[in-house]
Amino acid sequence: MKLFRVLVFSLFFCLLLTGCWDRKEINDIAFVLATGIDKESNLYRVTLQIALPGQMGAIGSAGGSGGTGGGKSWLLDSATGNSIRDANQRQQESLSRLLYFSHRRIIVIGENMARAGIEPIIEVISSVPQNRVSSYVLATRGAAKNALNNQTKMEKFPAEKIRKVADIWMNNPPTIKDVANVLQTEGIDLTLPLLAEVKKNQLTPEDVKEYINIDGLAVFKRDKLVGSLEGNQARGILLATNKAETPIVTFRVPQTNGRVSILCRNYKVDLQPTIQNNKINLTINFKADVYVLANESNAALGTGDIIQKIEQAAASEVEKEIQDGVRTLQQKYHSDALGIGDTLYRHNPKVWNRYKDNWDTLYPKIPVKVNALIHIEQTGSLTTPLGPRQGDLSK
Amino acid sequence: MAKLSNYQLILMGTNFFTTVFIISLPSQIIATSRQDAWLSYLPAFLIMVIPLWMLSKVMHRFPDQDLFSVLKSRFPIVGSMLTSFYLLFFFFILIRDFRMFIDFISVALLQRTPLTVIGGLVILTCILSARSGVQVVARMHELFYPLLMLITVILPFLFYAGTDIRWMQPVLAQGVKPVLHGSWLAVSYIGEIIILPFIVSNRTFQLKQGLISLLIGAYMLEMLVVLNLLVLSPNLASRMMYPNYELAREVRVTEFLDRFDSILVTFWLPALFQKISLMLNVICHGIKQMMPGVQERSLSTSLGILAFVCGFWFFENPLQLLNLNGGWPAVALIFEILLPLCFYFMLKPRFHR
Repeated sequence: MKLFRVLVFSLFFCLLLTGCWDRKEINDIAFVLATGIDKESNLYRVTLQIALPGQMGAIGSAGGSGGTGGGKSWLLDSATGNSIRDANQRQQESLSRLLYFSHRRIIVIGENMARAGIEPIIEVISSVPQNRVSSYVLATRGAAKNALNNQTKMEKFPAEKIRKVADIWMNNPPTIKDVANVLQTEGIDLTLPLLAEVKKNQLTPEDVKEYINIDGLAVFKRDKLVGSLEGNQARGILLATNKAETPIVTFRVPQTNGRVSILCRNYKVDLQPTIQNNKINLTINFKADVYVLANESNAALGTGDIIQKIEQAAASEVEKEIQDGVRTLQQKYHSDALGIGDTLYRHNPKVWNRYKDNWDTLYPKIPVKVNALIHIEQTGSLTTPLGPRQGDLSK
Repeated sequence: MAKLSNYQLILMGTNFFTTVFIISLPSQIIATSRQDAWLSYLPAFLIMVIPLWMLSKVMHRFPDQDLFSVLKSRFPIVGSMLTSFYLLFFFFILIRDFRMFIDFISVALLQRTPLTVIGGLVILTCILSARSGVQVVARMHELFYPLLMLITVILPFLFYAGTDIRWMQPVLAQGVKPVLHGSWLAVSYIGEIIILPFIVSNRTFQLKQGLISLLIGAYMLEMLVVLNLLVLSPNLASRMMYPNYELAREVRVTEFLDRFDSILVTFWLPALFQKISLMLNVICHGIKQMMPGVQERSLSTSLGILAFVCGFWFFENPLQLLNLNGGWPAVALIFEILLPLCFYFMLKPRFHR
């Protein structure tokens, strides 16, 4: 009798096995790889890039084998709504599978959305446990839906390509966690990698394809986009914030012709705020061990003091790039992307408390001095460039 | 009288105050103490050494008895009243832990499953475990808890690239008051270690076991809160319901080691089951001390079902559990510090001429 009661009891609870409610079959799930968010007047446009497992053949193939026929291995679905959750709900209504955000790799914010302010969207994309705060966040010129609809030959999905390009372009690209932290921290403003469409000629002038590229840094003031930095200015800010991924710096060496390129293998940046006569000054100390990647000049590396000249020229170039970037941030955008205010708080909270209410007026006037110290660790496999003749070398 | 080894007692002691502590409380401590949250734990641990010492002295005066028996035998009427109060205290902790546990499962793991179903299965497992006796629960601790401890040892190495020391600076910028506020929140949870003398006699429970449990627990909790600060930052960790779970989701060692939260949960949930089972077992043991005719095994079932009902009756939603943490130390410290102090001065063997 007792055994019978135990068996009945156990069987009863088997009926309540929790796998039933939260059971998700793999062919009932739509894996969302990327989300693009745009603002259209008062509405949010959310574009989702969803993987199509049935279409996933070899990388770069136009289609896969199997019943679903040829075509891309991903699909884009776009809808508008009063909020992002509202737009997702409308998308769900037309999809045969449940949207599943656990594998989302990137979030792309369109230009209009970024200019309107990204604070409202950060909460939505992190409140549900299924969403991961480790997704990369990028901004784009124009609409995010166009950024997600681009060609990729080397990767299966554009989202994967964008993620890998971001990894190559910068060290630890910003994730939702990083964006949320910066928005909540006083004395620092946000920068995001900026995507842009680039037209590239293929073999013939008529064969022009559009690719998505990282064009620079999107600069924010609080949560609103205020501008962008490109080229050397963007690299300068990446160097100053310790975010450049093995940066390559190319420069001219005095008394030589041609350029030298160096790769910064290990570098360290230190921001030192100081207060003198009630004025804040900032010194950026940059130290790097570099590798001579290419010597396109006529400098013979193994002779005289050429190495010291190259180191000084490299240091001057790095200082110039950082100074240019900081000047643009201070004068043009008034955006404290370096986190000078935050650095001041970490070093001396009492001083920060004194200045923080006037930080917007003080920040553009802060003199910034950059001290770069470059040490050439390796010169490559050549001591002298192969091109110039012996008599043409600069020593 | 339960016969447990020193090792089992140490594991049980550590489990008792760590596994539920790390669910939500770090978020509240970080919200008050910010970057100094790691300092908040230290006063709480130091304070709890005192009642442990006092209780070990009391147990030394009454060999071969656990604290329930000591209270009953030394002061039959007052002792029974104190035992009842302690049983109500432990029962409330059981309800709180049970509800916190099932809320965590519901929010983080099984969003669509009804809360009552999750609760029913959890309490059934704990009832079956408690019915087997404290020695079975102790052996379960030996199986699962060291693996959870191992995770806290290897976790720092998995975050070697993802930490930022800025988030712990500047130290004591807001003064000592927020740190002490954080200690206030932490002390009641850490003080639950005083359950040890209620389980075993002085032959097993010595001050040494209590201190080792406190030390291991201190390491685990400090390591987790420091990682929360360095990886998530005070801004994020203070706004999350389950910061340690989110911390585990941040582990990424290239593309190889992802979804570490699954591994953490695999070892953490059994430890939570064990705590609730142990608590149920201790309450049944205490009731049996007061009413010797009662069967412990059937008590577990009734008490488990009562805890299940009270878990839903007392708390409407997880936020009420968080709000409880603010005022709960005022009640808990009576049982964790004040009463042990009284026992130290008043619980002495009768003088026989």
